[in-house]
Amino acid sequence: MPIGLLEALILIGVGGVALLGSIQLDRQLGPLNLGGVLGPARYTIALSALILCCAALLILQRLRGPRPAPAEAASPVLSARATTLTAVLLAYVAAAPLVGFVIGSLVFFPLLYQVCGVRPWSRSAVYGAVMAVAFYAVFIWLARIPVPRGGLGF
Amino acid sequence: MAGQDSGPERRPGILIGTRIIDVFLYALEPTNLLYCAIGCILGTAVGVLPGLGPAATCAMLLSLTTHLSPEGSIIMLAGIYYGAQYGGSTTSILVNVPGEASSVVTCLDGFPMAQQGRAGEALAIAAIGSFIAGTFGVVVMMFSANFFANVGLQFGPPEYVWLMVFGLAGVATFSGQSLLKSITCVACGALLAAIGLDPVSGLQRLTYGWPPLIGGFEVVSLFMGLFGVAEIIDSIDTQRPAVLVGKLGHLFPRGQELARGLAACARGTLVGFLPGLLPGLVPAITSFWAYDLEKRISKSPERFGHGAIEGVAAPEAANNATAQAGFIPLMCFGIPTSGTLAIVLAALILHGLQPGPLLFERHAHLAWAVIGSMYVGNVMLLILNLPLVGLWARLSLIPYRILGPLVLGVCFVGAYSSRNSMFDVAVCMLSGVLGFVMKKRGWPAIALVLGFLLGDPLEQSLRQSLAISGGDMAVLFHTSISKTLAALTLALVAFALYQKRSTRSGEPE
Repeated sequence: MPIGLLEALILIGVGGVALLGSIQLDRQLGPLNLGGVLGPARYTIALSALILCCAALLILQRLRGPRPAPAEAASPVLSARATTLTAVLLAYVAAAPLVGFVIGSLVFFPLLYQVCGVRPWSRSAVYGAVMAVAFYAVFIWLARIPVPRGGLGF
Repeated sequence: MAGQDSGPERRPGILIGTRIIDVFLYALEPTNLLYCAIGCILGTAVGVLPGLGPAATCAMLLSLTTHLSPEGSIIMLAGIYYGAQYGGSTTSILVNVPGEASSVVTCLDGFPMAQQGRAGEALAIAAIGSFIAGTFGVVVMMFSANFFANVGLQFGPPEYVWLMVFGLAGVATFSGQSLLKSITCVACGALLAAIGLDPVSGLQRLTYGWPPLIGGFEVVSLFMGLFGVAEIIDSIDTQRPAVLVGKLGHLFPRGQELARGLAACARGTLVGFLPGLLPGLVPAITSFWAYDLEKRISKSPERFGHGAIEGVAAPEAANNATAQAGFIPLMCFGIPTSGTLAIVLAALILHGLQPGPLLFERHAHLAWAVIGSMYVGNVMLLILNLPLVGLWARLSLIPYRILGPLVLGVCFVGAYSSRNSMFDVAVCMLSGVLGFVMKKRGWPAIALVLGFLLGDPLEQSLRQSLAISGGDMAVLFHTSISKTLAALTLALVAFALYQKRSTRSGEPE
């Protein structure tokens, strides 16, 4: 499927879900009139409708416009390296509440350096450890900025 | 220094000649200078670190400042406030991570300037623009605070509606090559802002029973992800070695560049100042308006988005002017225009001082000491930051394989620190992926962010207006200010459509 049409379909999905949720809320509010003159649902109904209209216009534009080059239609949006980086980031986010920011940083900063291109592994480990210690010193110890604490309390 | 002053000359907003000397004598007292310096340094550091905003910093320090004198307390908090406006631009320019919402627009041309080896010029003009705007604001406060404060009081909910609509129309017609994509992004941003608890009824809206969504999305996480994280993912994807590949250029703008930058600073100051008098109008909006104006009046608008110095100078001047102007309604009427100024108000009350017209009569020494310290603080910020321009600019030479994880870690901490929530961190990282995809596919992330920022105030103002009028939409056209803003909005849209048609840019796919 051409990527332009995929974007439009995603927007239809987003707009549709938002519209259904807003209509449901509006029906709940009807007899209660809790929202005042302009209830909380009408605004989101209008925005959802606008998004759906824009999506429809995008589809029309795509169907009427020039065809994209085959390379554009076939190329993946994220390269393997960028996908790996994203996966590591999301794994870091998932692990941090369990192991805490400090341990999470000691594990994931070296991984991030490796994905970003630092070679060999030993250098990534050193950079990662230094960065984790620096973050602890600056953000946690000096600035007392809150960070996630894991099961061990830090 | 507590006590009451008396005398016929002590009228708010009107300064008699000899009092100018007194203002600076108060501000230049060693202890006040020290508090000003501490506030400026803290504020700049806060501005550089994304996520830790001036409001949170002021709140954390509020209890400590009760041990200081009233002047010292307010001077320090004020220094944090306008220091943060400047500091937020540093990371915007160097690594495309806005430190504050008001620095989002600076990314558009600041980061491209850094990529061209002109980080020094960008940082320098940001500092100079902040100084010009801050000084202008202080001078206005000294001579005509009351007049401008009264102007701000003319704006009610209907006027706010048109201000927001004007802002949204400007975003939609300005950003990106495709009008349709811009409008879509603005609508999506406004929809994102609507998710969570409705502030009027308290009902959950579009949360679908998922608890993390009840609190809605945090704007800091969103813009750090869309700009900062997206940039790192993009650099890894394209295997770009560093922000700048090559040599650093001039550290300070020269000749025509300097002249263009200074002119943009002046215009940005004027654009940012008046809206700063209005409560709830975030500096991000005024910085966008200043940018939009520069792009529209420029003889070569194609330079914008690719390193135009005006694209840094104007927004930075505007956001500082807005920050400075916020003190006028605070000091004159006790009306805070932002969360940070609400904390300054709390500090004043904690010290037994009631902001308002009587502040200038009963505690003239405090009021004028604060005003004088603002001027001194602006000079101090310039002195602190200009010499560091070369050092900061060298950060653009650091390879992405070293810089990338550092930026990602800062975004992680910044996103978490807003609400102590891992949900915000997840939003930051996921919006980074979204921002990367948007960048590749030509969807303007700036429109999404500004739609998010403007959507909520627009809805609230509209609901307040209709509540006042009992549902009659005609309330939006009652006052001359409303009609003027409505006309300006229509003119903006018509002009933008005319421009699109005459350049025949089309929609790139």
